[in-house]
Amino acid sequence: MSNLKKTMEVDLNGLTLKNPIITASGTYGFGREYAELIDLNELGGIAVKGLTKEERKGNEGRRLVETPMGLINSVGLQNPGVKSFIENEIPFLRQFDLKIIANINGNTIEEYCEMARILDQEDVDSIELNISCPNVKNGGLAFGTDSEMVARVVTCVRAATGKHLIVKLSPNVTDIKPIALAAEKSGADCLSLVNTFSGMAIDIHNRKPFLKRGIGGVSGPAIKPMALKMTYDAVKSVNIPVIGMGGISTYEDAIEFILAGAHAVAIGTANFYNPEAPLTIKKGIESYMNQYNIQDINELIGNLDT
Amino acid sequence: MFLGVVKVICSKALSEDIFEVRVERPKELAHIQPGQFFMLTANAYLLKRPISVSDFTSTQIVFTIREVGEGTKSLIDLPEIQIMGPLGHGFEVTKAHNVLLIGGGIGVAPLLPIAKKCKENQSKIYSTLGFRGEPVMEEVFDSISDFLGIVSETSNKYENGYVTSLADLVLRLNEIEMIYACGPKKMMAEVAKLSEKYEVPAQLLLEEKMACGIGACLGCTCKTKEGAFGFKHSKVCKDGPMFWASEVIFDV
Repeated sequence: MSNLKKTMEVDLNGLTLKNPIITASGTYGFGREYAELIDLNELGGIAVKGLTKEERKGNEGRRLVETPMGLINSVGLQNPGVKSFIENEIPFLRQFDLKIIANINGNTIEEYCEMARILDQEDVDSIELNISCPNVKNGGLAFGTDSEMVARVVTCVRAATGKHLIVKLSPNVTDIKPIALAAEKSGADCLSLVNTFSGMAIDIHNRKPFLKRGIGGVSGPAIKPMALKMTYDAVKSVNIPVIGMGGISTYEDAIEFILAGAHAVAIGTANFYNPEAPLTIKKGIESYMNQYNIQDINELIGNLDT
Repeated sequence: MFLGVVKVICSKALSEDIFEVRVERPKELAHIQPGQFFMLTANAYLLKRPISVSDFTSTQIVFTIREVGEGTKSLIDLPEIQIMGPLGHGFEVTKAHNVLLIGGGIGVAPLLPIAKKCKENQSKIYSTLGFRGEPVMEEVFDSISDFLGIVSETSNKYENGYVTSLADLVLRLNEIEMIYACGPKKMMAEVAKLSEKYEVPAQLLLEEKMACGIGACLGCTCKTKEGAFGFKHSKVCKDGPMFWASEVIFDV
């Protein structure tokens, strides 16, 4: 048995990853910074920094607040714009054996579609539709918290591109199931969740929120139990694969998401405090598979004894 | 870039809330530029803490740290510590005849390596340091400076006042060619004004809350005068921490 080659390859309904480890959008730039620290060839995929049609300068004022086991951010999608991504970042990332997932954001449905049309012609492996950013005034979260809006934007983007399409969902909803279902019915190939939870922190000495916009997005281990539950709920309500994320920082966390039914996992905030996290998580999954004599990671997906 | 655990040689208090951590410098570590920093793994909450290098030799690195919360507090008295770096763009070394250092509080610490470098280059060093209470690193700055002025907001052993007033005086009376500064944001905004007033270029070492320290999280930005919007959010960790006074926009 042990002579058989173990496989970590997963199929996300048209996007094949050599292993289930993705780095989450907004935590990994375009891979350049981390390439100095780890071998990017070890990753299954990278979801790049959230892109907008034009360059975006991001939010003013303080952008980070550390909380117990968590981080609140208010970056506001600062990015060089989709054109610069195509010219400068795709060629860089293509040097590595990993799947490129372009995370896109728009102020309007038309903007989402336009970006999808542009990227349809480019060398990216998948498009991740971000309808869940809590840190921008227009778009983002507004599209991701209402099933009808989700259906409209996903339908429109689906018509604009033949690329593999991931829809990234927000946890800031009462019930994730109708949202997940709306995305699936409208043509998503895959779902990813969760984006950050809306949260805030107040400076009691100045009696003001630390962040200029008042609120930000909470990530890190603090959100893991809720993220896991929402991933589990989403998996149960759709027939397309799900990428699970939210506070994953150890291999045990990753296995939990996989057992809950996630086909792949994304590592986010952990990259900040442990740049080697994706590698140690991957190694940990391998040793877990050895320990339980599992040849194919697909045997683990959703294999929860309830 | 080095990422790994190093041995702590000694850890000692310099004042009530400022302490020095001296670590072994790994052989494989790249060249350190004055003004660069490391991310130090704290044993509290999650994130690493960005700490400037306050001195280094071929075998040692010194971090001078102000205890501001649980994170920095957890860096005291460790037998070993995980460090990542050196990071960012530090000070540009000049061969100017006369350089002025302006330091505020814990901001004096990262000025020492550039002072040493300037000394090597035969520059005359004017040091102006300001503190809220009692000073730190007075002796070492005294030994390296041709002129040393220390002010304190509260201590009765020193002249009371702001360091930028003292720096103003030095600039008025001497042919300073380069300013190196590090300190609180308000002080830095004043230094930028002095740089403009006396037409002396100033290199400012900025500080900001950071999550990753390497340019990925975009959490530590400052406003600089360039780009498509009339200003740009530059990354303090990667584009800086050294910025020219003429390029920074201060919102204070």
